[in-house]
Amino acid sequence: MKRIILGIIFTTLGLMMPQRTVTPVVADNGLPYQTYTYSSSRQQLIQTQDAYVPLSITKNIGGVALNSPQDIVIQNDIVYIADKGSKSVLKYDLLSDEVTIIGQGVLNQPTGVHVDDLGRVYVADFANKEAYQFVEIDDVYQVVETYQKPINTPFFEESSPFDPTKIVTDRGGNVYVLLSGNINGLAQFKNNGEFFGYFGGNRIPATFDNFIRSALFDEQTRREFFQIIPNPVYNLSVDDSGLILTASKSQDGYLKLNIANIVFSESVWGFPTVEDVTVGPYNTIFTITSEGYIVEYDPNGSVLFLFSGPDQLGQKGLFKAPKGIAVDSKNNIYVVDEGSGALQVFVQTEFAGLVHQAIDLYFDGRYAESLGPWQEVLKMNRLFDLANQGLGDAYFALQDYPQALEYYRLARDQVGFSNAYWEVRNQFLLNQGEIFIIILMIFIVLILFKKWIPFYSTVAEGIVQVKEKLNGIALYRELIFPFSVIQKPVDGYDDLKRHKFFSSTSAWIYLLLFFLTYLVWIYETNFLFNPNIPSEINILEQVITIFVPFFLWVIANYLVCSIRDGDGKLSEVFQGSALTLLPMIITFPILTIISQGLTLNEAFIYEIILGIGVTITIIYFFIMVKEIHFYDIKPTLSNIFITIFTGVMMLAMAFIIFFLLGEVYQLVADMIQEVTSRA
Amino acid sequence: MLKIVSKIVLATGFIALTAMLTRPELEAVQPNRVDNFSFVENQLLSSSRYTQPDAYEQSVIDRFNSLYRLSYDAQELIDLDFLFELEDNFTKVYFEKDSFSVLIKDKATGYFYSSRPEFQGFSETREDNTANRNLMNSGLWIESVRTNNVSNSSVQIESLYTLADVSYENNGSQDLDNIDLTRPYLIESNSYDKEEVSVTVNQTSLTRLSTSISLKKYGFNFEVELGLTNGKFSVFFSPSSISETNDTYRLMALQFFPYLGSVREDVAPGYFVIPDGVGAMVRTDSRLDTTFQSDYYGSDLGYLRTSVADLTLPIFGIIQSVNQFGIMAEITTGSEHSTLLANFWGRNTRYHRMTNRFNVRRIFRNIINRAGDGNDVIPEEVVNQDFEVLYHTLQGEKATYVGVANTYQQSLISQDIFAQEQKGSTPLHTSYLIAEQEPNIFGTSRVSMTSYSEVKAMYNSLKDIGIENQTTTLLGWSEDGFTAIAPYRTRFIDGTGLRALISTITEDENEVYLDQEYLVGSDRSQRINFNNDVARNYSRLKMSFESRRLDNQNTDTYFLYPNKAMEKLNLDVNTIEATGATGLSMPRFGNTLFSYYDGERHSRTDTLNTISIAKEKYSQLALHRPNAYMFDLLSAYLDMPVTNSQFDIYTDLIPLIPIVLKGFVPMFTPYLNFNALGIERLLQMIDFGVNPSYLLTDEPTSNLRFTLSNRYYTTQFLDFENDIENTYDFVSSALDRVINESIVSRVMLTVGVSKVTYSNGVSIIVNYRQVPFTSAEVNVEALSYKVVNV
Repeated sequence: MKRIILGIIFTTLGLMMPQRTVTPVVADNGLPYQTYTYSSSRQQLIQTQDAYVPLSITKNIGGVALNSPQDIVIQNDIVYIADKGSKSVLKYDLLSDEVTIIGQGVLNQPTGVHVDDLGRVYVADFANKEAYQFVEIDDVYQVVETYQKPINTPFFEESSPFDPTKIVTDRGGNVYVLLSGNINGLAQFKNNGEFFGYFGGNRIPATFDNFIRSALFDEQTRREFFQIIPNPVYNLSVDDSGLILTASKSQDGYLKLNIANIVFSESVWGFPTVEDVTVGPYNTIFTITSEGYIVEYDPNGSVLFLFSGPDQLGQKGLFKAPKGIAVDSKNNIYVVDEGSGALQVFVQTEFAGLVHQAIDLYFDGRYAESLGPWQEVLKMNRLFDLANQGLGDAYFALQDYPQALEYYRLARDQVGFSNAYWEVRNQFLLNQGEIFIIILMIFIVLILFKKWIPFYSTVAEGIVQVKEKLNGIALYRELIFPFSVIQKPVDGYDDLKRHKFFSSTSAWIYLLLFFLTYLVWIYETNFLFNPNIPSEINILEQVITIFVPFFLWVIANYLVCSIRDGDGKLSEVFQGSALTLLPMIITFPILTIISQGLTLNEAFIYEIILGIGVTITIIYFFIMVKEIHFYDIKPTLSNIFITIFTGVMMLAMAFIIFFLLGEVYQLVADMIQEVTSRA
Repeated sequence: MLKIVSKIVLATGFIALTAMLTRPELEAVQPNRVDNFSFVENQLLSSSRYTQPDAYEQSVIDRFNSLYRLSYDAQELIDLDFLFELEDNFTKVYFEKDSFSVLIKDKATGYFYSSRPEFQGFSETREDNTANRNLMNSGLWIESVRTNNVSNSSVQIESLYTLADVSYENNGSQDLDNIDLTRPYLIESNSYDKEEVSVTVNQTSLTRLSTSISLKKYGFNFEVELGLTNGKFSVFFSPSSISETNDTYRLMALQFFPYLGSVREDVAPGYFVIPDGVGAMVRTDSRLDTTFQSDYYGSDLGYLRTSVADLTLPIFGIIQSVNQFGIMAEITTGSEHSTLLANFWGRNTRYHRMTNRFNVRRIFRNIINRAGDGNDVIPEEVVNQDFEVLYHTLQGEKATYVGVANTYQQSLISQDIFAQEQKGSTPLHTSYLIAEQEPNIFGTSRVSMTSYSEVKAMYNSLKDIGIENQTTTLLGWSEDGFTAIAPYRTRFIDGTGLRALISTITEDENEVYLDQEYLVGSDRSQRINFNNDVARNYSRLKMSFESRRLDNQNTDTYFLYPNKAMEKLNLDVNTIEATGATGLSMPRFGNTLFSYYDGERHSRTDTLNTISIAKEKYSQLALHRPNAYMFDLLSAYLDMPVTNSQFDIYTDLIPLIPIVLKGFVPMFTPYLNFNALGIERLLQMIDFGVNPSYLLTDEPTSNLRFTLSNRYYTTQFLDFENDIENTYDFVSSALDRVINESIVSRVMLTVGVSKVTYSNGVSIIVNYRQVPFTSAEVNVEALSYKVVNV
């Protein structure tokens, strides 16, 4: 799904730009891009208020020209830019406007820069194949440590490359040097330059084909023949608590690693082309892709804002070849773009300011205090799900469960909704306890005094009379026949075959009933147990989902059995299959109804009922095949598998024929078009 | 048992009640713009999102006046063969026929505007090669293509001098101690090949002459008329005068006087004015090393040509020296076939120049299969529209972008396109969404958002707080729905309620528009027959464009045959009239212009002529970002752009369209519901004279969550009632003072502080800065404004 979305982004954002939208301009703040956020309720990106506004494109800072900037970092509101062209690091103090040049004469091709809490400047130099630590001594930055290729270590052979591109430090002063193309991870040094291992390397994806290959081949073959090697880390950053964030090409978004080198959290959604990653003052995480898309994540990795993009026509706010991203204490975003040799600054809008204010409180656990900011955010965007979720949490903290429930419902926050519902339901049960007890008492009284109050016999008599009348109708007899099959399946299917207790008309009714209950199930089941969004359910898709497999089964089963000594006719297979859907026809409404009263704590009830329904159906299908075709158990099993395989083959054949017909149609259409266009 | 249950219930109730009572008071959090770093603040205010002060150094101005203030004496004009003259009370034009060059002399100041790049050779070295000199020194450029090799890259651009194979007497360099302005133009005698190029002149009066141009190599012959009317120099060219005798070549385009008004390197303290978006400016005091090219009126999808720049006015301005000299070009006919071109000083040229290209033909792709394969071709016929451009010279205070806009405004007034606005107070535009359609299992179901009685209640509520002048647009009034469904069928939701509402509003002499669109639809529209209604482009492909969005609201946008669109419009006229509505509000009608194919090829002019029928049917239309050709029936300008295309080269944002329209047509900003810029946006509205606009519903916006209208993510009146009142008060306190008045001047007092002066003498000073502005005359608080000279 992600790939599809990304494909759409890459192929169509450019197309969208030249044309004005069909409807009136919505969020026109004079920007060359639209801003999106991730909606948990829609499970997709949705448009939102613009979060950041771009300023001028700056090609020099404090009078110093940029010339191929490669990386940017901001520490204590001082901007440091590694500039490959000028072979130095430019330091610009946002408070005093002072400019300092670092590393001239030492640096050759600085591609990464980092500054620690003590103001020590670390620079990775690709051409020198070394990284450096600069310290300001007597107003001059001097190299005090060098991080270079370690010798006499099993981690590096003599021929192993050592090409530093990026560098960071953790709170303990350890230095992590990112080596271009190195699949082992980040080279980890002590602050004094002593190498002591690798950290944060990517793992080989645990896919099915990789599992098979690892079972069959040795590591060397896997690496050399199948190219199964971990993705090298491409860029990195460090957050306030010293946790390392890494981004790799071909891997979506970012990973946040703890000190044990285990993934602590990761982005929920992301691009596979992240160029740089950084952490902002509210612990939100920013990434920029090589195409120029900036994504801001909340501390949990959910997408807050997605904006900007590729620049094809020289527009401000877009990028040609962005290399680095950094954020200052006021949440201004700074991006260096090698393509334009410039720095672009984005300031947050009032809307983004409110979101950050709310996030700051929210992720600090101060839910009640975040109520006000979230309400303001929501006023500016009623469909901003994080705000709905935040308000749900805030009201939950304030024990206003009905309100919390409403906001969780809007955000489709399953856990929050479940917890709030548990409270609301509890309160309801407590409030309505008297009524339940009264109803129970009435039943008890009716049982105790059944001698004097002929309630049951009256009701039972009435039912019997109705049943007798209905029994006179053939269709009714057919429709209740499957219930006897459920009770005695072997006899039942035999009756179907020999005595024709069931007709194709009834089978159609059962099939349609199954479809109807299925629709009710996918539409009306509580969203805690239902991933479907009702308005997004396509009736045609559902028809295909149900009827195509069913009829493929019927036809394939009949065909297979007819050549494998099966005795069943096509009509019998159809009727038998349709009536065997009865357990699910019963299960679906039960699930739909009970889902309304359950929370996630009782999800097992829902799952057990569903499991029972599905299991019974499968068993009855098995018995149906066995009895309809007069098979033993073993041939029945093999028949079922062959039926499934045949069904898949028939589907594949249909696709091929459809595809070929399409090609023929296209050929004819092309010929006509060519003839008419040349006429 | 009952007791226990009751106790639990009571206890729970008590806890809940306590929680409710102890709930903290809800506070509205309304952060203003953060107190940002001075670096960022400067970056913001000095960015091209604002107009910058004309802070040219005095030395630059002095240098311009001493060295680059153009003037020719009589002898020099004779030496350069400027033998033909046009003259009226204000202007004298000298014309040299062989190079097709003009010198326009403003009589009052004696200043010359040249069609040649003046001051060549001032680097004291040879400048450019002969081929370039031939292009620069000739005022008529011909673009042609070989019929057996049609492609964009094979289009030849040549000047008369190029075709005549002119060579020069000298290398064009100047001795700055002994400047001879004529030197770069002196050509070797007999080097002009009159067999190849022939220009004959027939002067019919002192203010008009016609020329016949014959190009032997290509077999092109055509006529160009030059004229002078009230000081305005005009160039007129009719494609019907073209004859092409050589089948090997076809004429593609003409550029008249491409260097007229050009300025050299960084010598001119001025700028270019580009009508992109709300208005754009490029200051020409630095090396930009780039080009700009955009068709007027946006993309012509009939040719599959797309344009990001949104040029809605057929004008451009070159201010050579601010408050001294400038020139404004106005295309009076043929703008729909014209392209605005600009070249800026860089590696290939020492000059900043801007001009129009008149396209008599354009290349399109003859597609022969579904894969899109084919070849580039050109239509046999040339466009069926004349081309005329007027050059207004601007002197003194008129030599600013305000002068450019005012001059164009006067031109529109003289053509009776505008009538003075007659309103008593600042208008407010409100759109009300009546209903939308939401998908369900069997198709769609209606999501009612606002009933007409609720619209009336909101209208009255706004009236009660003093907002008398309300312009109302009703959206989603059709049973079809709203977003991406137009053209809507005229099946009204509650027709009686609609008529009653319109009656109430119009009784107050306020306008009500029904949202509709005829020229552009989508695959969701129920009123479009794909085969019959959707137009084909020149490549004979259906003009259906897939617009996929990140929010998965993917639609195929359809462009309809103009005559089909007008058929639908005609069908609806009586029904719409019967509602009593003032007219229609149309999002695309005023800004969509394309060529199309329906068995024969139709140009943009044909589309323009066809859709002009709307002018007969409706006298008032509220249009979204309309192009200038729609100004004559424009009663409200909606969605005024907040900025322009924000290209790198743009240095300033200027209110070009607002200055043209202020005092004549009420202008409204895009819905403020979605304003992310806070108070800055409101200040800009006051600065530009643009009025507020809101989209409102009675029901919660979350009801739209699963509809296509979920892009309007905040609309509920309850959320905006106070906001509207505050915003309106803030804006109207300034704009009420200048109602029906025109902008006569706008200057930046310093970075981030503008002063706009109106025709009634009232000035509004707007301070965009985080710090107060203090001057001898006035103090303006940070992020605020002040009205002076009331």
